[in-house]
Amino acid sequence: MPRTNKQPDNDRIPSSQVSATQAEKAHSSMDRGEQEKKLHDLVQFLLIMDQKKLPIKKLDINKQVLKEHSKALPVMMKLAEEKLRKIFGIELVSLEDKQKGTYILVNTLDTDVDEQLESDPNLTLTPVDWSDENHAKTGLLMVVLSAIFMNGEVMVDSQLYHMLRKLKVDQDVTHPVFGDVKKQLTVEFVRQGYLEYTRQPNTDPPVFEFRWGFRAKKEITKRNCLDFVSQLYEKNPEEWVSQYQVVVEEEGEEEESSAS
Amino acid sequence: QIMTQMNDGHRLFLQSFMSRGILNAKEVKQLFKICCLKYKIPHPENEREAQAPLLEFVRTINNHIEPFHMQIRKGVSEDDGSSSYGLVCTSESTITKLASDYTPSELEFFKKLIEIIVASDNAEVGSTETLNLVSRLENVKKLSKDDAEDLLSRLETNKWIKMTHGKISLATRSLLELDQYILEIYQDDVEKCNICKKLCLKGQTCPSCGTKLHFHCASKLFEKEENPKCPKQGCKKAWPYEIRRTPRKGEYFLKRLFTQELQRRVKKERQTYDMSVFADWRIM
Repeated sequence: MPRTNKQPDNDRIPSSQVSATQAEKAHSSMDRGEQEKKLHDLVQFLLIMDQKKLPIKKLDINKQVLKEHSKALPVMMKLAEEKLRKIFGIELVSLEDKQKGTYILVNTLDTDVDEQLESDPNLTLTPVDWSDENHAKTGLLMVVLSAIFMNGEVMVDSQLYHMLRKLKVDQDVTHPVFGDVKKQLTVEFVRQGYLEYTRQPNTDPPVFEFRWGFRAKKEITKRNCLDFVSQLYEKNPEEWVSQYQVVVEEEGEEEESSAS
Repeated sequence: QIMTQMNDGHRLFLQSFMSRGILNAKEVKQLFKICCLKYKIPHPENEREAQAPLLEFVRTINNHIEPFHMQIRKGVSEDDGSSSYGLVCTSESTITKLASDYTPSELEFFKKLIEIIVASDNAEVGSTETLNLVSRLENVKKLSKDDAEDLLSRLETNKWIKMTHGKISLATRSLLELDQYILEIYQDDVEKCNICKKLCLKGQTCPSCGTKLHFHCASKLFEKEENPKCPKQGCKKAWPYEIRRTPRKGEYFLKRLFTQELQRRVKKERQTYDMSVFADWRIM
């Protein structure tokens, strides 16, 4: 479920209340046919825009789809969210903080079919088709995200590059698969929302920090990463005491928010 | 109306089409089986019995995605008559589907490629002629020949075009998605197959009246004909082309042989032929 909007300034009427009534009014002022058409255009729009892997802005939704019915956005987004979930198995996520006012789509479907393929030698098709390049990039990303998490959820750039160099991925050398490694990490993965790359204040020469990006937080859990690292080192997750603590806390929060 | 609701099996099936764009008959059957296995949907062991449930499955999905201008449709290869299923965009802005993967210049190039393919003899063009299209791009950012080569490679990977023996032609996916577009834009320059009434770029043309047939439609039509004739009323001239009587890997030949054998044998003894050959057979 998309997270609810944070409480805005105290001296104003909570904006979520005002927009809800206005939005419902705006929506019901449209005739049935138009409501449906706009909804369908909206869903199509969201699917197409998400392919670019950039957060989708409310501004663009209003400009390109809703147009004169922009006020109905909250209602339309709720309806679109339902369609995406029921028909495509995709979750519409409203982003917070720096990305407030934007949306991304996240797959809720588990597309892993290893078990089914193993059960029958005649079955060889993977439903979702990944290129070798994509596989490799995801592998790199997994390693980077895990490293950042294990390091306390933030990692200084020099540290990360040092670690990668040990894995023969050198930011100064054009990699046969990743090409410009630095660009892949600081531009591509950041643009897609997998990493956050910020400058440490008052550093000269500049020092940068890597953190998990909004998309990483949605697509992967800290538990996944800890399990991954544990497997690599053939240890139990509990042996990483502070990291395990973080995982348990995250899962506690998850339970709370789904119970509420 | 009451529509069968979608379950995760349908959604995975749909996501697969969204990811791959097009799947051939064999792949579709596999995908269906995998989706059923994963989400515990009953699936008949016998491939032929799985046919009807599969069509029903696709129909359910199509009902739900139709409002979004999406449909899973069957297409037939003009080269060998084999079936494929593709996810197509049904609104007239078909190009919006491509729009997210390709730049405006690349789309312009692809349109020009379609133009020269339509104008060619056998719906195929050479790579030199194709690469030279970069000089014909108007009102868009220029493409270099290297860019064009890269584009062609991507178009091939994504199954929009076929490149064999230095010749480039439109693949089934393009025909499926763009047949309306081509028929509309090039109405006077293209024909429909006299038998299936679909766009026919590659096929055989009657030298007398110009009637065109797909290779596979001609094969079916003239299956038992000793002296094939043009099907057009008012023409009926001898069909001067070799009929591809074995459209796929000898399956067709085996079918006739098997039918004859069946007629001869009355006993229900176990057949000595490999039955699985027919499982793949054209019921779709």
